[in-house]
Amino acid sequence: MLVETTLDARDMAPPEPFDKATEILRQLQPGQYLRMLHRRVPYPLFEFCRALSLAYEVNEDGAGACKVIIYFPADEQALRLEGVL
Amino acid sequence: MRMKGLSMEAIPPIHLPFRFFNTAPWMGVLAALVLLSGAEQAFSTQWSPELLGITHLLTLGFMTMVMLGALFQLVPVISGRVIPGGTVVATLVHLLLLTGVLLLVAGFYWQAYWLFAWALPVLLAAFTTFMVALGSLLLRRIGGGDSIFCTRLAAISLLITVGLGALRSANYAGLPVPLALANITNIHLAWGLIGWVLLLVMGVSYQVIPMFHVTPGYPTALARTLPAAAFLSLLVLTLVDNTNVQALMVLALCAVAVGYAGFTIRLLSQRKRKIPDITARFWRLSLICLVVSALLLAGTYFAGHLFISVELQQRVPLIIGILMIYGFAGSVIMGMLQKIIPFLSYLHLQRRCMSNFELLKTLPHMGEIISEPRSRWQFRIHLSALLLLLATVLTGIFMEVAALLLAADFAWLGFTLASATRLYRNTAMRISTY
Repeated sequence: MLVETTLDARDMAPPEPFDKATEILRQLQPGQYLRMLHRRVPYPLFEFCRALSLAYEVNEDGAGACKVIIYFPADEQALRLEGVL
Repeated sequence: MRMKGLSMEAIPPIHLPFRFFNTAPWMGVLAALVLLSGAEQAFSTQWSPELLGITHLLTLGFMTMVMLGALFQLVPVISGRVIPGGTVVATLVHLLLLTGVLLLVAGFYWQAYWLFAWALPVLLAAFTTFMVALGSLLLRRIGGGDSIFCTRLAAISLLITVGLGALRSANYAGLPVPLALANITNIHLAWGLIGWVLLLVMGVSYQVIPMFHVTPGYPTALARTLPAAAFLSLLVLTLVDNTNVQALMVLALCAVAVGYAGFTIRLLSQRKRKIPDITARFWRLSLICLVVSALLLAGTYFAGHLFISVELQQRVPLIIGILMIYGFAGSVIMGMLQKIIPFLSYLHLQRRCMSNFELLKTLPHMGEIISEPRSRWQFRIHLSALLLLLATVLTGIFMEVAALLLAADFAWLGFTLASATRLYRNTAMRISTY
């Protein structure tokens, strides 16, 4: 069972979403993942993810809402099985 | 939509937009000095050489300088694509634009119209280089939605503005002009202020208002209809030589301006966090100026002779010019810079911490890069200068004080941006020593 941390950044102004997300990601352990809700694709965060060797997937619903899942690559299979990805 | 592997590698180095941003305020200071030196004649008529010099220092030297710098940063960020030529193109465009503006203004100020023969090719080279680089990107299918849609129309409008301006200045310089266009100066003005400036401000606002001020987004139908209607109205205004049709197009342009301003003011009132924000104040001031300009234009176009004296009617174009250039575009640019400079600095500094995340904690916060009190003073000086300039046009007095306040406004901005740039550079150097 993977452990989810949720960050709802939809009502945050920059750079708060980045600051909060990086704080969480730096503590992230294998078996844990971050679900981030945002109003746009948080491009700057992806460079940070790559530096931490984390994988990410972005879902945009076309209505200005965006869901980002950030996880350890080793957990990808489990995340798919749980229907998170 | 699912996406993977998007990156920030498309972002150009920060020194490129900063170069444009740090040059622009000093063009405004120069405009104020021209006003101070030619105070008596400047506002005598809307076509006085001093006023034309001031207008081009503000529109090309300040506004376009900031807007091109911002586009070098914004288009790659919202589209995820690199502008071809990057540093070389930006350096070339910056130098050519600066040289061209100074030559053009010198030509107006000293009425040495032969200088236009030099200014013209230099400015054309600046805009051609920019348009080739940006155009190659805008012609492709890229992301960015409504903002890129608006930017495309603004870029075409810039081309038309530059083309019409080139024809006009070739005429000044005594060069043969192949095309006879009636009322070419007013059309040049309309394409510049509405097609280039208003449409680009619209495109940028679609991104930055919801993002920085945490408001609802612009509905796509409105975000596309408004710029398309403005662009088509400008086209018809240029090509159809019929009084009734032209009156209808003027009305349509005013309606677009009022509609856009009204909707944006409404969005700003729906901010999720109602904390005091200087940039939001600049936005409101800018949008109020846009509405007043549009109402004044429509009012004087259709019924001016009924309500005001002939003398006042002659001052209306000057008032609309001040409201559009300094009140609308000037305010929005000044307000945006208070947010964009700290945001870009912070964004680029974050990227420098990727090899040592502990350094993230040591970065100056956005509020430290340009402090709140400094921004607040910028707003006060700007508002005072705007009100005094308008009073000067109406009464003919306080001209020198208005010019000095104008100089103070741009110099304040220049020093603010320079100190933010210095803070960025010092922090970047500190990070690189770890």
